[in-house]
Amino acid sequence: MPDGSGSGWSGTTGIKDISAIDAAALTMVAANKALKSRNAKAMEPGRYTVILEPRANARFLSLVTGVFNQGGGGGGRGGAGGGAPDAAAAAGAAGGPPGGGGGGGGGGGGGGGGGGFGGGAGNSFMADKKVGDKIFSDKFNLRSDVGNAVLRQSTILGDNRPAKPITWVENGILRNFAGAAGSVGVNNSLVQGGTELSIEDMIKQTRRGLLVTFFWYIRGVPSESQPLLNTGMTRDGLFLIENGEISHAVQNFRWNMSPLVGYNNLSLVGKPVSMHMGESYDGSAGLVPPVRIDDFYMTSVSPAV
Amino acid sequence: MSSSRRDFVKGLGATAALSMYSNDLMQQLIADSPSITRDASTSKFKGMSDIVLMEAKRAGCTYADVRFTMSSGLPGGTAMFRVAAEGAAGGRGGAGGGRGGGGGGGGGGGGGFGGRGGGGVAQSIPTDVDRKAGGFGVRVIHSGVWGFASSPIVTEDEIRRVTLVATEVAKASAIAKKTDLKLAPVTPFVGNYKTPMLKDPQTVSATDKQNWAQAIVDKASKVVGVTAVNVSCNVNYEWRYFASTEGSYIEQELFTTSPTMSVSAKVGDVTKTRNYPGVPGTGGWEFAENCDFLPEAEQVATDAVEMCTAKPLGGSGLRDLLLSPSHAMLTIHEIVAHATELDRIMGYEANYAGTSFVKVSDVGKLKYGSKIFNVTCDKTSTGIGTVGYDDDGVKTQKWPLIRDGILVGLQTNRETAHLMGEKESRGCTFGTTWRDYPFLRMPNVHVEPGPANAPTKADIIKSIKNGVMIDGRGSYSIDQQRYNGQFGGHIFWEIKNGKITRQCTDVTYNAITTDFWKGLVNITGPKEWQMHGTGGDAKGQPTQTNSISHGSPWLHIEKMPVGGAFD
Repeated sequence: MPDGSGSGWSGTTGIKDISAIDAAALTMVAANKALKSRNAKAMEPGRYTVILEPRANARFLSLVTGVFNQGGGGGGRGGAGGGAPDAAAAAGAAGGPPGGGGGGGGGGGGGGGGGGFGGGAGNSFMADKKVGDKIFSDKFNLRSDVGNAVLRQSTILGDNRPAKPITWVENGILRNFAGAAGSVGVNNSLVQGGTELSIEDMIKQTRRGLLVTFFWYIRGVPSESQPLLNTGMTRDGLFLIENGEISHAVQNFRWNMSPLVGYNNLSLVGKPVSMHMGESYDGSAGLVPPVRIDDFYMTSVSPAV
Repeated sequence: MSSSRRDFVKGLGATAALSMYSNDLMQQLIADSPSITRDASTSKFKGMSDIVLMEAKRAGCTYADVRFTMSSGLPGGTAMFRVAAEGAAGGRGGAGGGRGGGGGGGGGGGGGFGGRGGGGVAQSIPTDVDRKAGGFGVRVIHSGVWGFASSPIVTEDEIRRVTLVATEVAKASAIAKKTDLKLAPVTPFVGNYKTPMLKDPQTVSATDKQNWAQAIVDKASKVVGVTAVNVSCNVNYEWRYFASTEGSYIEQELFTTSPTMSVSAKVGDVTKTRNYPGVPGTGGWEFAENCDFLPEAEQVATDAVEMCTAKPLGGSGLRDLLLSPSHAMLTIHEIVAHATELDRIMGYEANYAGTSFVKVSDVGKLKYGSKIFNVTCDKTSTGIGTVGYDDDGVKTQKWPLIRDGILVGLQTNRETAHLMGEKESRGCTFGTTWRDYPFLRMPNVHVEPGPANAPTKADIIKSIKNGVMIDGRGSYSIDQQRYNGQFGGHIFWEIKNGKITRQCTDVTYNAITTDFWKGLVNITGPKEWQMHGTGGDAKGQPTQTNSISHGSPWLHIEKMPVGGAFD
């Protein structure tokens, strides 16, 4: 709102066909959220059932893609912002929002290391996992759908070989590691499987929970006990759902949660839409559904609008 | 380059009608102009700038400026150590890249010297091979709003074309304008600026640079358990030429020197890496020689070994924090520096970077922190955000942001100064490279040290009953209004009853901005004040990076919520 009393967001990103963007409809959704987000009430921190709209889920999903890189290397993208573990130069990438990567962190591989947050911990979670193991909820499906008709993505890999479609997780069961797939990165044409449920349908099926529009400033939190623990904020529209309806706006929460736990707590999945997955708008997009996750840990309140 | 072409370029003016330049013209022009003889008023770039300024005026623009930029790494020093078993993993040490000047957005300023760091490299302004792409960006005001366009092709035709594209962008943007832009006045300047240096890195031999790094590596690698050591010092060079319809022609050469160190150790199956960033600065090789890597090498290596067996701090609750300058810099960055950018406060960055909990009406009133909390904005010191003139052509300066805990100022540029009732810009406009639209970016922002008789770090440790000491940067997350931050660090020590008891892990603290700074009960004096920096300050769509330093003493913050992330 011009007076700073509310904020809302809506968007479609990463699609091939610009005519598929309904600017008027998206504007209406964003404006409506801004209006309804005024006079947000502070609620107690704690564990909530949340419906993550596609933009929030796109960010949450981006935190796990690294775990499919068997045998180290990548690690969760949740580590973004930490810079290379061994090379965090004086000019390391840690300042504002990442995305841009930061003018400095660059640096060569800097071996020896380990000890990066997020990534290393995620790989420790996967260390004893093998294809066929159940790693997530039955409702979790993830594949790289190279050639997808909606996504604006290249079918050619960085080394000029053709990318091939691959399934990463099917009904919660690990189907492939990136190394075994050989020819595709986990972030190529990523599609998280969904249903035909709209966000409205999902709200109707929820007795009590929070509707989350947007996740912001997610960073890995190094933890000995919780692999891929991450923290972040909600923004641009957070609402309480009671008995299948939006009851009122809620002041923004900081959360601390591992996607490895979150995607085991999936209880509902909706219809995927195209959405950029990184923090900045500059990066790649996937087809991402709204999801409902139980016991999502909201740790503190922010009155930020 | 043929002499006829050189003569032609020399005489290039507004009436020149040919378009025969190749796209390496700018690089060649820079190479042909040794830095010591540069003169903004007779530079070949003045002629090219005049084309922009005249085209823009002819197209009806009320203001125009042009920036030519080029940046590059210069040879630095680097050395490393690997135990044999780990050798295969050895990549090059971190190329830091100072002023984020890379090819724009993603992963820019890595400015690698990597493999070239060793001997046999000319110690001079880089050749074409070593340079990043140069180019120019044109900014105009037409119909009361900004337009911008840029190109890497430095030819007269392209300069004219890009100026007209910028004008068209402004005209199109005017459809959505609410009010006309109002720029604060600026005093025109014609001249040059070069980073002051005690020891020009171009005068230090490759051998001396290498020896500097090797001595530190040799010392750290002797500690039992150490598996890898990286020491490097990057030197970044940036050249900028700015001209505007206000009458300014400004040529700047900026040198940034950034020493970095890391040590990896292995105990049992656990490998950990201790990052020990040096203090970077706009300046020369003195930033390598003045850093404390050599005297601290054994301690840093010992820290790395102890990291391998450190256990979680355990339990969440209120504890005192003792924050080192290298840690505090990012907390200052996130919850003071970003929150006081006037463009954010006005909502310009609401979609991505966010807004601020600070309001313009808070200036002079808001109690930001305790009485000993004094913060200064600065683009004139050796911080890595320092330049001579900003990208509005405004001479840079130093000014108070917070005094005795009260907010007394904000960061402004020509566009925003009037929004807080100020008559002059504070000089905060910056565009990362030629292809980036210049907008309000933070300067160096420092927390002032206490007086000379302030307590030392050791004194403060003795005064803490139940606390944690944090060094270096780790996990940082903050809401879009800069109010609720959760910060980790790189390395942690528990403090019990006035003593450091053990190294620990799994530490975060939750800072509600004004509560956090109100809890500032003690700071160290000028001797323990350090100015750490980052080239990763990101803002804007598309994202641009900015380099800045944040000076800080050791900060003692009382009774902060620690460890809530792990409950």
